[in-house]
Amino acid sequence: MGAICDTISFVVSDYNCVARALTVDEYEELAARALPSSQLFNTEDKEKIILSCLQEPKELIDLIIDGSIIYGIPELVFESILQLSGFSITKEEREETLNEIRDFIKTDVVSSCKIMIIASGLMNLEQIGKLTFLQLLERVALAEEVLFIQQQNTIAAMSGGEPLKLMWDVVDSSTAQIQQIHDSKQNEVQALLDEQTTMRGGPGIRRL
Amino acid sequence: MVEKNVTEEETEVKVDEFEALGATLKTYGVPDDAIAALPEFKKRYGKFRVAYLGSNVYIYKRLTWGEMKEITNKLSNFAKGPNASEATLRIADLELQLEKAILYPSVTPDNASRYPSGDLETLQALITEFSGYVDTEPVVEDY
Repeated sequence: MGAICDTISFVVSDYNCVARALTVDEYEELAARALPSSQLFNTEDKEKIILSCLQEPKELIDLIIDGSIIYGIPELVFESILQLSGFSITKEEREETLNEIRDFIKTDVVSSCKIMIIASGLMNLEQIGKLTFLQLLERVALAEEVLFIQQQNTIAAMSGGEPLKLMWDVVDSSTAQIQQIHDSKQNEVQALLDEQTTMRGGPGIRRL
Repeated sequence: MVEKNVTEEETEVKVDEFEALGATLKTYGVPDDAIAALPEFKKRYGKFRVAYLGSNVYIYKRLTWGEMKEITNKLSNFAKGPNASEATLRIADLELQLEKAILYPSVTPDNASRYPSGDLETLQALITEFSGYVDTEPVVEDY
C-alpha cells in the first residue's frame, strides 16, 4: 500500500497541472448524477470537480471557466484527476481489491470499503467521505487488521486465552492520527479483555 | 465504430490554400456559398478541417468546453424523458456533437438520418481527435 498523497500532478497538452486528489464523497456525488450511460458525466459536474481540485495553472482554470478552450483539454484534466485519485482503476484491479476484502458482501469497492472501515470502528461515515480513494484503501488495510484482531480476541476471551496486540506501521501523519485514536480505543478493549481473561485463566495466543 | 481510412485525406486548411481547396470541394458538389464561407470559418474558429468520406465531403471545427456543457445539459434533460435509454442517449450525444461541429453540410438531429451512419460515427471520432481529446499522431497534411 503506497503512501497517502493529497496532491497530484500531471501534464495535459502543454499544461503542467497540480491538483488535490478527489474525495470519496465527491466521486460518489458525481457518479450519482451521471447519465444512464456510464461514460456520460454531465460536463458541468466535471467542471465543478475540475475547478474544485485543480490548483495550477491559473491560466488553464480561467480558460475552462470561459468555456472557449477545446473540450479535450478539460476532459483529460478531469480523467487525470479521477485516475490519479484512484477512481479509474481497471476492473481487474477492482476485483483484486474486492478479493482482499474477505467475508464481505460485494457491492462496489467504495461501499465495501466503507462498510469495512465502519465495522472496524476506525472512522464514521462522515469522516470516510473526506478521504481520497487511496486513503480509503489505506484505511481498509487497517480495518482488516483491526477486525482480525477483534475476532481473534473474542475467540481468545471466550476460551480464556490472552488477547492479541494490535500493531501496524506508521505510514504518515494521517495514519498516525488513526493509530492514536486506536491506541486509546484499544486500551479500553484491552482492559475489558484482560479482565475477562483473568477471570477465565488459561493459555492465550499472541500475534505480533 | 465503422472503420474508414479517411484520415490520410483529411486536410488542415491555411488561408492561402482556400482557392485550391475551393476547387477540390467544387468537384464534390459543395455549393459556392459554402466555399465562399471558408475564410469566415477560419476567422471565426481558428482552425477547421475537411474530411472526405467516400463520395461525401464534410467541413468541421473543434468543439469547445462551453459547447460540450450545452450538449450534456440537453442530454441531461433528454435522459429524464420517457424515451431515454443508453442507446438513444448515445445517438443524441452523437447528433448534438455533429450539429455543433459540422460546418458543412448542416447536420442536425432532425436530418441526421439522411447521412450514412458510418460517416457520422467516423466524423465524431475525427472531431474528438481534433478537439484534443485523443492523443494521436497527427496525420493531416499541412500546406
